[in-house]
Amino acid sequence: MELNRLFDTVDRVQENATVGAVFGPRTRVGEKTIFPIGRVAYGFGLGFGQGPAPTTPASEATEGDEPEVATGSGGGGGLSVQPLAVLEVTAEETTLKPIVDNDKIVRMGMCVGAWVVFCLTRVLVKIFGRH
Amino acid sequence: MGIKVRLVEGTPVIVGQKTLTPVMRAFTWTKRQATVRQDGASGFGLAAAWLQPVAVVEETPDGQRRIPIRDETSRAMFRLLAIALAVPVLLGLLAWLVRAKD
Repeated sequence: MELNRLFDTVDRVQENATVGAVFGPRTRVGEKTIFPIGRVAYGFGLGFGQGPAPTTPASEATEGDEPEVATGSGGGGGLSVQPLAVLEVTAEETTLKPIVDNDKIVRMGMCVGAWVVFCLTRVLVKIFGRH
Repeated sequence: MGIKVRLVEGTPVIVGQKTLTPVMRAFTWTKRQATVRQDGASGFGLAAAWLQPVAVVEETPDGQRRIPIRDETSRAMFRLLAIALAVPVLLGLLAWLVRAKD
């Protein structure tokens, strides 16, 4: 039944949430073995409906006609993968090198800077402004 | 149905004399509903998952070490957010002190 298939698909989310999704396959570069590490988020929705389809007008329907069935279904989803770090393994040491999104930090820094200037201006007006 | 939080250890990977075991935290949520009537049926299903790497456990002949995995970008963003929240409080306090002195 379609509903069972729909529910099986939804239940498989937990089965598919495995370590392999966040720790990528190893890559050998010279003496180093590298593992990419990231954060994964995904979601989806599915819907299904089935009911009688009144395609034959009642005045034209003859006895014995089986009502037609109409079905409809739809779905949507999204996926986000954010790299977090790279694990480098050599014979001597194992190091974790974080991946930093400088663009995001600079944008946030500019917003915070503008906010600080705004607050400072308000305070200066309060202190030195007209009473 | 509902939110499930699990700490999952992956399959250990051997690199030379080292054994690396990845560890992640998985948040999963599902919701499903069905309506069955005499003349038909309908239903929907929703699911979401958030997979966060937590650490890598390294085993060598010398011993075991846990390497935590941190999101440095988020940590920097939180520090900036803390500054954004602290600055108006401190400046407000300063303004209050100056006006109280007057």
